Amino acid sequence: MLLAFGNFTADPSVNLQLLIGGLALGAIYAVVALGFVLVYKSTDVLNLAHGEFLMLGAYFALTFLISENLNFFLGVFVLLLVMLVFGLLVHYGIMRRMVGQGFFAIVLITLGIATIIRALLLIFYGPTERGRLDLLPQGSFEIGGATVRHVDIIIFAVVAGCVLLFFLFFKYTRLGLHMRAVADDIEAAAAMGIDPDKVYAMTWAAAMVMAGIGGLLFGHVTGAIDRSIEAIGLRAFPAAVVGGLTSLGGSIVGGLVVGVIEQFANGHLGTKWREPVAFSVMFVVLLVRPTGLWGRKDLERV
Amino acid sequence: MTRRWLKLVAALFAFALIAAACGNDDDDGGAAPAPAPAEEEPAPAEEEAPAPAEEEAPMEMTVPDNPDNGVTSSSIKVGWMGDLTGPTASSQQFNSHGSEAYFECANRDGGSLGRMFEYLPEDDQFNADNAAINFTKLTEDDKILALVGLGGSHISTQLQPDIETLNLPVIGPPQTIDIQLEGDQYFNNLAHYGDQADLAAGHIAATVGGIENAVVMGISLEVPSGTEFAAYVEQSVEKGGGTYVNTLYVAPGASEVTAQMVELQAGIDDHGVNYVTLHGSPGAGLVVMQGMADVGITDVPIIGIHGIAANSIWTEGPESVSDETFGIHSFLTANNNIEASALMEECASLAGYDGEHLNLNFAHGFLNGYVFHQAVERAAETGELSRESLTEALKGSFDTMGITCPIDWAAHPHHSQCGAAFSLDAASGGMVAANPFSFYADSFDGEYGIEIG
Repeated sequence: MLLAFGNFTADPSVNLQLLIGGLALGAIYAVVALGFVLVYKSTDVLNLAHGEFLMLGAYFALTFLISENLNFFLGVFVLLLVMLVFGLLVHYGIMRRMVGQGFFAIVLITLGIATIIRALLLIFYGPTERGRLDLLPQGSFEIGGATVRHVDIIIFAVVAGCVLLFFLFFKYTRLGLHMRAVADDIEAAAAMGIDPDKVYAMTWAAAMVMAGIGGLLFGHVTGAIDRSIEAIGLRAFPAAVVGGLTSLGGSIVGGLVVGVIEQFANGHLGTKWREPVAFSVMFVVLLVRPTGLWGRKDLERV
Repeated sequence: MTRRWLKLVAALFAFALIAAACGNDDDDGGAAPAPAPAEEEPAPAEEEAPAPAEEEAPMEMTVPDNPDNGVTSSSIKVGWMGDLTGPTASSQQFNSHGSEAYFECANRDGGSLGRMFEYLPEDDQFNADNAAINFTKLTEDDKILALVGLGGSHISTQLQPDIETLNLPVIGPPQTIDIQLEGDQYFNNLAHYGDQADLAAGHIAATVGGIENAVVMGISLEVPSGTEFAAYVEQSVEKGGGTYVNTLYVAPGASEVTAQMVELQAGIDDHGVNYVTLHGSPGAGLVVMQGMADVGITDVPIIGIHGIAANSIWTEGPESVSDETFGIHSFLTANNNIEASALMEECASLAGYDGEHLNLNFAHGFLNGYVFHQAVERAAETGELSRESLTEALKGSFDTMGITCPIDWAAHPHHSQCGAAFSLDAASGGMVAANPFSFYADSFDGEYGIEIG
């Protein structure tokens, strides 16, 4: 055996490739983290089913865009519409009953939803893996000896656009204002005539649409679409926590930071260090700033 | 309250409708259709195909019941353990379907010894705890006569003492590992990882003009069998004078392999790597192949273990890489014009698994059923059918209808050194070997039990 891991540390093109790979991975983490943040920020629910939501989006993308061979834009529209409806069903069918219940009970419900989604996908799609989606531009170009895929650039742009859109939505739209009000104080918001039920429903719908976008994008970068891709939810969790579970901008920075750290750990220490390092970063951030780097600190009157 | 529940049910129903519509696509990865009634199946192939174990099945032969060993007045119980819905299900489900299809056909033709085969597959989702429960059910409640298939090297290892204690024959597990070679109850027909490594080295040598010209890098899933296969490959390549550069590990469930591709490129640039060996499931294989395509490594061929010899590697993988990819396996699919071809296709259809006769793991499961059938009738010649008599009956040679090399389990360990490098034949949709089994026969050194440093 000639090589041992880590002997290419000094090669700038290698490190550049790891950096680019890390940013690409981080952009996907940011998409997932955005979903976590959106739900947590508006409903105080830690949704551990978001990885499965994204997986659902990827499978539906396969169906509408590949199997049914719909026009790309029509297919994406149908995908997002179906995801939106599914989000409403999640709220009106399940989560509405849990409003006011204990934090852990609600987390367990989201785990239950995750289990049901995994089972239904297995039943209806079977266990056989599918190949990567190839509807977005598949080419690449080189910078300093490192390969940059076009699809990674698109993902960056979409994630940045989503963050900007959500930022504007929360800041300038009536519904966004209602969402913030409900998140801050549900009773006060209700007293002011805001219907928390509708706000929550819209939140779940928006999170599912986000998961649909995430599934579509992730389907273009993962090597295979199968039920193992739900693991992206767990892997992106440190990104959401590092950024702060209430910060949309934090989710994108957290995603990129965790993606890059993971990639360098993988490249220089070996694949077994990838997740321990990512979660260690999360621990450190939580120890220093329990709300994450950009998270909101709740103040309580005593 | 009632309204809320109704809404919940409506929500789930709506999702089910959506998903059902979505799952109704044309590609081969969807859920298997419900079995069609046997009466509706076309009959013509029946005359052409040999009836299962017909020559060795005198209709008048019978044995007394032995319910503690799965032989009742009406059935012979045979179990299957493996992953039907977990992370390796995309490989193992075909194995189970193959056995099920064989037994469907055998039962249609009257079963054996005046009884029907009762096939009992149990899903462990690749989880050793689930497997332990399934094993207890099959051996204590169902009291099976034997297992055809036992998936997962960690599961095999865990159950080894119980299998020996119960004298339970295990026919054709979908992996052959050292501990199975040591046991009396295992009858393996898939090439051992050491044999697969030898075969890989032989295939590489034939491709690059001699093993001494080979510069190999291994990519393995980060699991014990990944380390084991890589160590065997390193040994096989270096023994012949070739160069083994390094093993790159991929985490199970990884969605991308940027760091591994960086090192693979370094291996190509610095050492002239000209071949990659690949260990993993079809999903992991696709991730690696996509990673190679993404960074433009399309001229370094791949040879992978039997997990890589899945149709989806070629139907779903990037063409630029899959064109140069082979997977090692020990069986032939129905498109190879073998004696079993028509019967495999007919039985797959009968069992509701149309098209799966083109999958290597299906062929493996089908063969396991056929061997079990032969062994049952051979054991019955002793006047009783029990785990002990079946174990003894298995220690001999068996017809394979051309699915694999001739099986002869007379000597211990009971296993088969048979394999070839496969890829997908686009015309038939099935797998074809690059060279016949005999081409690789000289590659096997018969050395097992490698020490992993």
